[in-house]
Amino acid sequence: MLKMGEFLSKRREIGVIIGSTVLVSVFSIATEGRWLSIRNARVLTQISSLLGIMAVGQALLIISGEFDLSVGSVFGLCGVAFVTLISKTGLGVVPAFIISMLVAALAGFLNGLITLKGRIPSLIATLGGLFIYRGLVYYVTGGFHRSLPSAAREHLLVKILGGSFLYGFNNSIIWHIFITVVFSIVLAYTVYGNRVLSVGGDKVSALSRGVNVIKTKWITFIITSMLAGFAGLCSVSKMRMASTTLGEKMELESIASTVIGGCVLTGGVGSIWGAAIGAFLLSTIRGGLIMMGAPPYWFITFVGIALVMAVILNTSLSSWIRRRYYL
Amino acid sequence: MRSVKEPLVKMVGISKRFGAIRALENANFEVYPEEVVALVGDNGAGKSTLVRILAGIYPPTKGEIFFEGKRVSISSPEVAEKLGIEAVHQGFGLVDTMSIARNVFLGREPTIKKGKFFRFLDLERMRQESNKILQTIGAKSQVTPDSEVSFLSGGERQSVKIGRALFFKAKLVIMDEPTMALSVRERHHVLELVKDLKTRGVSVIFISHDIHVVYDVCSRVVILEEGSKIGDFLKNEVTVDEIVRIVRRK
Repeated sequence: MLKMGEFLSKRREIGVIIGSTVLVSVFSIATEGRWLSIRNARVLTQISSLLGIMAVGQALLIISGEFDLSVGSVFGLCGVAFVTLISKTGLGVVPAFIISMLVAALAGFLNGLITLKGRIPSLIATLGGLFIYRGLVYYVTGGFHRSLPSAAREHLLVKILGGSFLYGFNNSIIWHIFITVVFSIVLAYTVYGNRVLSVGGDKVSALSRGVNVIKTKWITFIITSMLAGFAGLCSVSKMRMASTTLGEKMELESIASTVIGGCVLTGGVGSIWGAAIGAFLLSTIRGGLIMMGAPPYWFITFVGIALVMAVILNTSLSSWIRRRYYL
Repeated sequence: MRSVKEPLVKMVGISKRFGAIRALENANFEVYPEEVVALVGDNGAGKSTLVRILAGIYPPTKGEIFFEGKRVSISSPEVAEKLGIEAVHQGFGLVDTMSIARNVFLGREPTIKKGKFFRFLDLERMRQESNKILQTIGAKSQVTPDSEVSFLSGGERQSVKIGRALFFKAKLVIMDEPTMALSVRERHHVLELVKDLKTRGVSVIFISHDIHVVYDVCSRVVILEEGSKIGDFLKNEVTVDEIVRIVRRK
C-alpha cells in the first residue's frame, strides 16, 4: 500500500495526464471527431513541441529553484540572429547555427551571473533579460521581418530543424520528444540531476553536504536558455523567416506549462514529462477552442483557468495521497 | 584522558565576527579521540558558530585549526567531509523533497559507467547502502530508502543523519541540538545512537543549551559564554548542578 503511495507522490505528472485526457475527449466529442484528424494533430503538435522544448528547460530551472522570464526573448533573439547572420552577413548555415546557440548560452550565462553573483531574485534578473534581449531583437531587425535566403532553406540542417517527416508532421516533434527523454533521464539518473533536485528542494542542506549551489544553478540557467534558443531556431527553420515578435509571451506559457505539469514554484519538485505534457495541454486548449468556433482571444482566459485548475488538482491530489497512504 | 592522547581536533585562538557582532573571541577548543564532548552555554554563547567553523560553513576571522596534529583550513563542507568531520545540524542537512537514498549520498553520489561517455547514478547501490543505514539506526519497517524525507519524524531525520555519518566513517560527528523538539522516546533513541557512535570509536561534539540532556552520554563538558570558553571539565570532576551554576553565573 505504502509502495503505491510513494509511487503516486513521486509521479507529479498524474494531474496533467488526467487533465489532458479529459480535454482531448471533450474537444473530440464537441467537434464530432474533427479534432482527432491528422491535419489538426499536425498543427497542434507543431505548436506544442516548440513550447514544449522551452518548457523542458523552464521545468529544470524551476526544479532548481529559479525562474527564467527571458526565454521568450531568447527564443526570438536566437531565431533572428540565425536568419540575420545568414541573410545579411552571408555566413553559412552551420556557423550561423553555432553562433546563435552561443548567443543563447551567453544569455543564460548572464541571467545566472546577475541572479547568482548579483544576488538578485531570478524573477527580477530575468525580467530585465526579457526586455534587454527583446530590445536586441528590435536592434538586429530594425523592426522588420527577415526572411531566410532560398539557398539556406535547402540546407540539410535547416531541414533537420524545421522540415517535416511522415504525413507532414514537423520535425520539431521528434526534437521535443528527444529532448524530453534526455532531460528526464538527466534529472532522475545523473549526479547533476540529483544536485538540481537538492538545490531547489533545500539550498542550505545541499550546501551543507558540499553541493556547489551556484555552479548547479548556473549550468541550469545556461541549459534553459539554450533550449529556448534551440526552439527558436526550429521555429525560424520551419517558418523560413523571423519577425520582431517571435517568441513573445512564450515565457509565461512555458512557466504555465511547467506548473500545469506538476512543478512547484518554490523548487525541488516537478516533472520534465509533466512540463512537456503541460505544453501539449495549453496548445490543445488553443487548437480546441478555435475548432469549436470560439473567438481566439478566449485562449488566454482559458490558459488562466487551466493554470488555476491544474494547481488545485495537483495540490489536492498530493494531499489526498498523503492522507490516503501516510496518515 | 586529556593529557595522554593527542587531540583529534584542536582549535586555537578562534575569533569570528559578523559585522560588528563578535560571535567568538579567542576561543580554544579540543576534542580527543573516542570522547563525547558536551558543548553547553546560553543562547548566543557562540556554540553553533564554533562548530560551524569546524564544519566548513563559516571561515574563522582569526585562529588556527589542527586536525590529527596537522594544520588545516576548512574552507567548505566538502573539505570537512574529506577530513572525516560530519555535521548533524539542527533543522537542516536533509532535503525534504528527496528520498532517503538520494539524501544519504548527496554530494558524494556513486556512479556507474554506461558505454563510453555516460555516467549514471548507481541507484541500486544507493538503495542497498541506505537500507543498511536504516537497519543500523533501527528505523521502522515502513521507512524505506525510497521514502521521501518529508514523511519522516524529527527523530527519524536525526537518526538518518547520524547513520549517514557512521556510514561515511566519520572520525568526528558534530551535533547541534540534535534532540531539540523531539518526543521523549525519540530523544532517548538519538542518545542511544550517540553512545553507539562512541563505542565505534567516533568522537562526538554534542551541543545543547540543556546540560541535563547531554550529561548522561558525555565524557567532558565545555562551557562557552559570550564567545569564550569559561569552563572545561571531565565529567567526573563536575556535577550537573555545578555546570548549571556556571552557565547562570551572572
